[in-house]
Amino acid sequence: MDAFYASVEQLDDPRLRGKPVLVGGDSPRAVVAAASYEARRFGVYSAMPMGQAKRRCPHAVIVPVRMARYMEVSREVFSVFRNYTPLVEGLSIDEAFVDVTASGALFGNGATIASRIKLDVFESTGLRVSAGVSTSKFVSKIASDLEKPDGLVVVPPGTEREFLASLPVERMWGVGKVAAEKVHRLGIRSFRDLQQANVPLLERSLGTWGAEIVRLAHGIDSREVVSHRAPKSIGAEETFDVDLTRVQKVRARLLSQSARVADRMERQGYVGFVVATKLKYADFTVKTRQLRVPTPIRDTDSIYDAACALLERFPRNPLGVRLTGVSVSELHHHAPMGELFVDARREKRDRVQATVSALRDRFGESGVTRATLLTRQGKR
Amino acid sequence: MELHVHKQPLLRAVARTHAVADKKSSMPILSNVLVTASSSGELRLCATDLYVGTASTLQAEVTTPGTVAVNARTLFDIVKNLPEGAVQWTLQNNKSVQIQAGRAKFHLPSMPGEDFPPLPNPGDSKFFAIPVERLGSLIQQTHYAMSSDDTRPHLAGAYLEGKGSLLRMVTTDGHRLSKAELTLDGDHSIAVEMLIPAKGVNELRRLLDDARADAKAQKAETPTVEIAQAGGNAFFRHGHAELSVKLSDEQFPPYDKVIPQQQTRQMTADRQTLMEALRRVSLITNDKSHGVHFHLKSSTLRVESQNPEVGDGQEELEVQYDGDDLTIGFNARYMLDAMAALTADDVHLDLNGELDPGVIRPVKSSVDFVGVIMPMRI
Repeated sequence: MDAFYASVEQLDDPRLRGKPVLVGGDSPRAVVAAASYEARRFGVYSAMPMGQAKRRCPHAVIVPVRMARYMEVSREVFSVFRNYTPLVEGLSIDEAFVDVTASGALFGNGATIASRIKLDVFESTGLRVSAGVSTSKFVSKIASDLEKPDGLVVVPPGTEREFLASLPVERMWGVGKVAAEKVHRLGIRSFRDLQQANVPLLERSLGTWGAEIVRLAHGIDSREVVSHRAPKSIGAEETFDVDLTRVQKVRARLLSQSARVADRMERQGYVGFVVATKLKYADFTVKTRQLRVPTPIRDTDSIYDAACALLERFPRNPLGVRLTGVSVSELHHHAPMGELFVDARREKRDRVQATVSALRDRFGESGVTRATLLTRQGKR
Repeated sequence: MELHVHKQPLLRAVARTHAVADKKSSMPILSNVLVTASSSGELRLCATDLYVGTASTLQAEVTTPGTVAVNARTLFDIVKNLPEGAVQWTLQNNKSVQIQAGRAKFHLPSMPGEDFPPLPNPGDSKFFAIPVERLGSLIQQTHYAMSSDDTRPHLAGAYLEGKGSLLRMVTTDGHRLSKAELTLDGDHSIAVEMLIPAKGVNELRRLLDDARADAKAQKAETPTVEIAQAGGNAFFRHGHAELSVKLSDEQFPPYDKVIPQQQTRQMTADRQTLMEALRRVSLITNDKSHGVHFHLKSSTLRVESQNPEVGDGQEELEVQYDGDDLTIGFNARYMLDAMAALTADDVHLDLNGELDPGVIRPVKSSVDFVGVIMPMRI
């Protein structure tokens, strides 16, 4: 999708159409979650601090994130994809791989299906979407990004190498600032340079990943489109407007995040074995600690207890905490094994969790919450 | 501080202590080994992480007594690689420790020995002697069922009970429970009741291993380990090695209540055959649950597993069984753990309904063992 969150906002509120729109919070530490194309002309891009974005584009309209609405639109868009094939692999809320290899006889070739999907999405949601068509996931993804917004780039079979050659190396998946600098030092600036690169030399600087990106630069990518990818972890994190300096406040945030994680686990029917706590300090250093519990957990209190126990394992750091996060991984579908000792407390916790999650599903996250969190939120 | 000591006994003492030192602690002194030389010609090495403490004593030629703390890891690496023979240990200017052997010479930074936290002291509490083999077999038959869940400290350890000549160890993780007990030969007046945290159990196993190795080297018949309980700590000692463990003050669950007394069905099988079948069939269960089905019919047990992503597998074996047909799900890993810890040729599996626990017992054994395993709904 093109500038997805911002496009949904412009769709829902006609007054925003044609105007630079920034989606995100307006607090000192907020970042831009999405910028409309009108705003991008001023050099604003997503993940940019909101303050900087406002300086670059002072007349932009700032609207808060409405995740529930974006999810709703996303589901609609994905259902359009599924009209053409069941092989849809969501990459994020607004990106997906669609394998139409077997749909040719019914709907025509890839290019035809792509333009039909673009049309269908526009008809059912009013939103524009960009597509890339090729024989592999990697090339399609790159192609889809080339002519945004409302783009359609088709890379015919056999022309992948040639198509990629002229692109700058920064377009490569996973090549950020640091990696880009490393490859620049080896004289590599474009995909063509990568195609001709000395693999052992590249590996010395980037590790085994060096060989991988050379393969990708040739357009060689045999990864399949996987429609049912189970999540690897379920997590929640947030950056605070003011650094937390007291451990009670950190605990309160961990509780709120544990509750969000538990909700999602309950909804998706998962239990998990590994709990991780993440802290980002005022100097932007990030530390995580994790532990494995032998009996899988899924309720707020169990996750929170583990997250707090982990807190003890962080080295003492006088700096304030600007971000906390909680995640649960090693997820499994809830397969019940009997308990020897009927742990009334734990059983009760599971039942409370199921009820609370159901209420939050119905009335939103603030429908039911913990008293401790209520006062914290009130103070914020 | 100045002394001479032989490399081999020093290495043994360092090897025993350094593993306990806490390399990641926020208290730097805990990553050290405390070395104390007394005028009586005794060299004592101590390490602790504040939960487990260990000390090892050896003979040395002490010229000047003293005490100093040096990094455990570095000391172990150095002593391990020193040339054989005499080692000279000197504390210079109360700062740096010089270790010299043959032509090799090292200087290590040190911390004052006085800064090292004192290990718990058994005072004049009574020590009870227990044959190493007997205590070892209790641990071996139960340790795998300890919980490793830090958030459930009441399960993350082994419960040890000693009354007169009776010794009992119980462990559980909430889904399975292992209880082993035995009666010692001769007259004993043991009186202990303790929940030993998992790390302490592991260190105790090392101490018992050392004791066995010592006995073998000295061709001693039945080595014993001495045990005492005082002030929230357990103390174990063998020869020149001592171990103290801060006991958990959590309440171990009422284990007696969950060991079924009356079961309506009993299967008896060859232990090895059943274990091999379980190992094979559980290859298919790739998820964490390790769930397999037991289908019991007259004289046959069919073990079966299914995994939509991998395939399915089954194996049928002849067993003694004359009860009604029953299908019940178990974690194969739990079954294997319990049976692997036994030595008996045959095992009983006592069952009730499909939602009731299964109970593993050896058919003939010198240790009275009960393994309770909750079924899975699969």
